[in-house]
Amino acid sequence: MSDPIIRVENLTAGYGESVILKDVDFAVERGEILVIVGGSGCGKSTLLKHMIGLNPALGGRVLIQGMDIDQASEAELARIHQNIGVLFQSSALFGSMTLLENVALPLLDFTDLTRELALELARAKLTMVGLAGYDNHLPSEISGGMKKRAGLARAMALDPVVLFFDEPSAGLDPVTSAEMDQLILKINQGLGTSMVIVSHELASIFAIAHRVVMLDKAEQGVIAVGDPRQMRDHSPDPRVREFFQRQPRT
Amino acid sequence: MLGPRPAWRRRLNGIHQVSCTQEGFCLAQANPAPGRLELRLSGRLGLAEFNDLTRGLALALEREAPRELVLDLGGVDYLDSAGALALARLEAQAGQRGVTVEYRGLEATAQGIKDLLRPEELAKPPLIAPQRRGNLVEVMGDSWLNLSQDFYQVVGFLGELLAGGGRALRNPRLVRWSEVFFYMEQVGVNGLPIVGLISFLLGLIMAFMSFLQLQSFGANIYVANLVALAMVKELGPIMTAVLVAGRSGSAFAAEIGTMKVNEEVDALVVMGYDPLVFLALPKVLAAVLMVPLLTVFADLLAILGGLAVGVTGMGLTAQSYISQTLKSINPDDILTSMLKSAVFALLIAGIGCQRGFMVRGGAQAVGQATTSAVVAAMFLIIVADSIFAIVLHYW
Repeated sequence: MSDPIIRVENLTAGYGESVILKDVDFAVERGEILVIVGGSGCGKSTLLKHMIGLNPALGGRVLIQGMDIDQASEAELARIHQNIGVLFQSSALFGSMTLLENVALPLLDFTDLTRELALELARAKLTMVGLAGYDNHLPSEISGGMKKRAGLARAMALDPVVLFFDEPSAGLDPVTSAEMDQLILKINQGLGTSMVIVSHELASIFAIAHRVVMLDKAEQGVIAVGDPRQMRDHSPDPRVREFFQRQPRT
Repeated sequence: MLGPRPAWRRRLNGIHQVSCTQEGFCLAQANPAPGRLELRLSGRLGLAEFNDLTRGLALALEREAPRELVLDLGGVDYLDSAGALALARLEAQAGQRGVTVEYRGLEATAQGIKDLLRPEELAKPPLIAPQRRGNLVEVMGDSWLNLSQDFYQVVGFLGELLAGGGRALRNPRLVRWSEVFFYMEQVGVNGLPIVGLISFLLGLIMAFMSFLQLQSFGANIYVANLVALAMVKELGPIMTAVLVAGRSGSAFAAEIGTMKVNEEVDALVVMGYDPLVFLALPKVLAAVLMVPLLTVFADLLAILGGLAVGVTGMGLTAQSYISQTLKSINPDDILTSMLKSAVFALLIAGIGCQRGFMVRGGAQAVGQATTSAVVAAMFLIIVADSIFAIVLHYW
């Protein structure tokens, strides 16, 4: 088996003095869809921010392709960031740019492509996410689901080896949410991109997750790792079963 | 680099030309039968190779002009969406020339990537045309239309604001007084240091510059008159208003604009509140109450700045400077100055809130509203000041 693409080693995550997660330890394999789940406020998004290098680790480390993101030099960090793509919860599209400009931005700035080819590739990315023809639309002119897809097209612009998603289905209707799941699976199967997804949408988790890491607020860390169906049906931990069976806490 | 910078080219068995990039991929060409071209690709077909790959494939197609094209991907180690797009481009170019395309060695993974790029979708034209900047006449026309529309909106908003103020007068419980006190602190108390410092320095500079002129006439004492009159009648209200527009007018526009973007204003409407009374009125009231007081403070500090120059540089006593200052101004001047400031405050806070309510879209619109609030407030301050000058002259 090849080396994991990401290793999170004894990570202590939080902001300043406040510790949210302690001694978190797991790995993301190449080509895997790993979903980080847990109740509200358990630190899912915080963990994601540490994994993409937005927050420095309070302890432990995060290795992406073997490189410690907190110890990386500016040039190394820039290289790491070009190898990862992030779809933010609010899509984070630049409001003053059209969808095509949003997607073409990294292609124009970080590759040697001619402007014509960069725009053609950006158009291809929009096509891949089902937004063919929406080149000249501004983010304010499209729906929430389309924004998510455009955000995904921008995250995929440089064909990253890992894609991070923060709540990709949040705020989407069931049909659009299912389409998003399908798109994620297609990209994973087609491009072999490893994916780390923060979500608590059970239907999505069962549809796309190869493996799940479950966090817990009280434990301040990981309480279960594995196949979501196994965890739902056979986990010895009642907190895990309650979560996956969508039951109120006993 | 293909073509101009090949690492090596040679003739092989059946293959008559092979080109490789220094690191990346190799493209081998073969013509097993007349009119049939085989392109064998090996290595990496990714984003880094996209430029060379598209050029190499297009060149081969153009040079050989085949009737049938075979693309052999058996030796490809890595294919991403950029590589797949290069192949899709070649397929489209071949289609245009009536060349049939056949794939070989296409693994399931590569097929998956190719499937993501649907050729019929790739050719889809944009649903809307890119925004075009018009010619000079169109731009001028647009600007004029925007300006007149803007004027109506500002007048309408100020009218609504005054109507809201009237409602609040009849029923003071409508006004959120805690908010009024909060903004009084923001506009007034927190503005004291910068207004004080700038006014003090302004008084100091005015006194010094006028002293240089007046000393040759032996009229040093009139420096006190000049500083006091200039500050109380004109510069005090104007300077304070400009500073308040920069500090608070912009903040009001940004605050309400962000609330618009986050749908907080819509939430107020559906909860049964009047956003104008809820959001704008406390800000306007606070500004109208505090800016006149800030102006008086600015006048005092400027006179103090003049006094500092008078005592230290002009050989005047503090008592004579103050007494000359008091002789030069009368209470009416101060009242007029405060009235002007109150009107300026109404314009600054009003326009700040109005620009905030006009925000549509995202962060960029908030930025535009903030800039527009400051620019429009300054313009209106000068217009209002001109009107005051004329009216007070004939009063």
